[in-house]
Amino acid sequence: MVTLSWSVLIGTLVVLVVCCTALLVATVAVRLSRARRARRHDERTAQVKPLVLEVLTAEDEEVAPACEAVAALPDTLWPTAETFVLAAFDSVRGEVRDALVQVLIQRGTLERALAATQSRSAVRRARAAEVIGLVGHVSGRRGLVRLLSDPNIEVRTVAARALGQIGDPHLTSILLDSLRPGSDVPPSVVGTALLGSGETDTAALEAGLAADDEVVRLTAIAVSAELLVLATARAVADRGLTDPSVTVRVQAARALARLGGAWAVPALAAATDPTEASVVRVAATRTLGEMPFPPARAHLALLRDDEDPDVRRLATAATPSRETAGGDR
Amino acid sequence: MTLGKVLVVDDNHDICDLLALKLTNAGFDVTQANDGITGLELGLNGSFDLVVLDVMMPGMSGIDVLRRLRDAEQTATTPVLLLTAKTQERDVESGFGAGAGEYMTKPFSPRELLVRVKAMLARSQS
Amino acid sequence: MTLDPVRDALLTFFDVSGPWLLLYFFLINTSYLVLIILASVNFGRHLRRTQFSGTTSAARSPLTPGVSVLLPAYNEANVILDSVRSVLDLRYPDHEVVVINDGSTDATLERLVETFGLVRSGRDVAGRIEVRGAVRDVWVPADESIPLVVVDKENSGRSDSLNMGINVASRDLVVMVDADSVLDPDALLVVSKPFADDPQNVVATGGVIRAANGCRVVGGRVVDVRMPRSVVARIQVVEYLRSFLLGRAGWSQADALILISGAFGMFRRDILLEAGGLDADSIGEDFELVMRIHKMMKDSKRDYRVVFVAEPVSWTEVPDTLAVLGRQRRRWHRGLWEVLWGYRRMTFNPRYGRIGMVALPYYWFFELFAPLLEVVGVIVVPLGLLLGVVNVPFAVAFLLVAYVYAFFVTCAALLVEEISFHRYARWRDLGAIVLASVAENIGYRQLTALWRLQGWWASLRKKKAVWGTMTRAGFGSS
Repeated sequence: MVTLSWSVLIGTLVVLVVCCTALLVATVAVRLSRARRARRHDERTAQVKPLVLEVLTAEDEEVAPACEAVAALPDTLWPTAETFVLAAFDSVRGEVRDALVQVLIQRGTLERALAATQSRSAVRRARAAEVIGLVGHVSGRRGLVRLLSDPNIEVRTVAARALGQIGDPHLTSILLDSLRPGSDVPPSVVGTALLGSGETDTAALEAGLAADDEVVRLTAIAVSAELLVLATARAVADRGLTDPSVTVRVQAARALARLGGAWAVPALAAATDPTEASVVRVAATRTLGEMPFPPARAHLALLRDDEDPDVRRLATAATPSRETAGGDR
Repeated sequence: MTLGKVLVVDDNHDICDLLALKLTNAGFDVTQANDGITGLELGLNGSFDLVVLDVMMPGMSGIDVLRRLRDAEQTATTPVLLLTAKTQERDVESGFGAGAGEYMTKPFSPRELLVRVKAMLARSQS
Repeated sequence: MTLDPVRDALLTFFDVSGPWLLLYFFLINTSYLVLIILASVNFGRHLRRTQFSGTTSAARSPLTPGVSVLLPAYNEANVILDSVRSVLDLRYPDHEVVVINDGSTDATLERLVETFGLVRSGRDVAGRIEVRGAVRDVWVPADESIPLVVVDKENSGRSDSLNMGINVASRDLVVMVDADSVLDPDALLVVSKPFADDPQNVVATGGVIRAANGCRVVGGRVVDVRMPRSVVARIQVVEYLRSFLLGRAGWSQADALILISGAFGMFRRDILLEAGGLDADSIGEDFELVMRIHKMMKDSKRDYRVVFVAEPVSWTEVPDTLAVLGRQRRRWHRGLWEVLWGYRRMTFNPRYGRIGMVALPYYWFFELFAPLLEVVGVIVVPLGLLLGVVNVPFAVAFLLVAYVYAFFVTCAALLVEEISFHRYARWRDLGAIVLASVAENIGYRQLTALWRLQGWWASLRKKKAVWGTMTRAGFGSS
């Protein structure tokens, strides 16, 4: 039978009780400090908000004086003002936003953010990238492009997203390049950023379609489809549907729903071959289903008896037989 | 002499205040609500000339409020401007399906919003 | 003296296993502590990331992957409309809702048809996963802009219904929810983010579930977070905080996440189809599914990740009476046993990496056997004390290592919660949580241990019965 000395037990009990108390006290302290910070933040925001709203609701002549009032805010209130203005950019655009961007630049927001891109703290660098993106001024571009090669993945991701907000089509190849292996920047972030550019650098997209890296090809196809870059359509059909990667083939099949025309039907039909992976066949069938051309209809009719239930369902839904009246909605 | 009674419903207090201020400055009589339920209640009882409605709200979404406003006789034809953050066609259509009439995507321009509101009111009064 | 044999038995017991009993509880609580530390790292990173998570950007992007939300419903006429509407209104650029009416005998289907203007679509519903329940019809809204599909079928259980849903789902990602769970508006954005960030590897994700009891829920959304009234529910809040927030996040950090809670798990549809969907015969069907996916991926030597997203996304009503709670815990432990036993070949099998070498043995040792040791401890130690077999220091040591240490671990969990999500804003609620953490150790734990044992025993007995009938039928009969 194990006997334990009382001193060890009492000691352990005391330690545990002290630790528990410490944790509970810490919990209370965290809560109190958060409440205090929130109160201070609210007080400051209450002073800043009316001035910013003045700018946002100003009509032409009123804009300049309202902006001056914001620009003249004391240094103690400026950080709060900056945060408030940047948050407003999420919901507001137009001349009033541009006016506020000028105020921010005037007060050095962009400058400070650009300087912070060199900070040793990854969090600060990421925050800086975000601010540069929100300000959306083209002079922040170079700083962001540098951050695309940052050692920290979060920073790279935020930088890619921020570049999308600046929206410069010349960035296409740079952004696609940020998808290189080992970079881990989410392709959806880069893709969305490329969409933000509005117009496109077609040559860069075409280069992307032929890139070595699968993720780059994937993103180039998705972006071409969204932006309806018809110049890349043939390449998507020819190279995309025969790509070594399944994910790329699926993306190509989906892209052709927007990019394809009657000319794409044979390629899509080939992609529904039984030897092809199921996900690709399904995607190709769905795209064919959205095409009104007779060759597409004809091929779909053949797929109505396919082994794969998903293919069958899509083919049947797209080609209601003449016997069932209103079988399709 | 106000240009009309407008109800503004948005769960973001700052945006709600922004909309209210813009419209008040322009001469409207504005009532605010920060959630769908309050907004619906006010909307049904307040005989407003126009409602500005944010789509994404906790509790009751803008689309939901819109549906219920349309179901009620007194608000079946009140012009409603939906503020939606989505740019997808489908969300917009579903808003129209519920009988919206107009929508604006976020981020929006406050000046454009004012112009739209005035146009909608002019149309509904003619 | 009839107590002598008992005394002797106890003496032998304590001689042999006294220290082991203490060691067991010390280890289990320390493991929780380690998981909490791992989870804090996970959180720290996550919280810093949420500042830049780009949720708004994802919410507006056409490149965000589509999600099919599967909602099996059996006699949910009261909540189905709120539930479906709130899921349709979730903030996400591309998602559809697939309701599977599991042969409800109430007005569930009728209410859906009426409210959404559903019409029969005559759609073929054959799918790659075999389904038992016969499908009666597939309904879709006349207004095509509403992304809703309602599959009406005969009653065949939740798992089978979900499999039907997987077959019918048209998007790349699938998430399974219950009609009575309440989702946060950004739930889909939060839980789909790992898929968007790493589309090649991530196959499944899960989010945090919280107790909805006591919260104000309006139109299918939690509008005000509050602690429940009943003590039973309050203690479960503490349990959920500890186990979901910390257990799951800790395991995910260690890259060994097995269990994705059934109430909110997102999967890649193609992986689900490949794995064959849920096992309709399994009691622990969600656990079993994730295990099967792990096995499938490891067996085919593919790179993959199962990720836990450390953000509360879903709220569910937890049992607030002991009777219902007892049934739940019995069922859970029975499910745990059956899956662990079913996948026993993966345990201590290096081919299955950390899952096989760390997570599974952990579950065997610390989750499966825990109630046994707990019940033994609770019975045997006081008895020993009474009979003079056990000295007071030992009993005190037992109390310390089993209960006080556990309370300490819970306090750590509370601190992490306070720093991270602090959803329970009222001071009153914080006080309630602390009290509930104390109360948990005085009666609640012991009860749940007993129930878990009962569930396990019931499963063992049933197995014996099954084997019994089989031998009677005779393997040699064919």
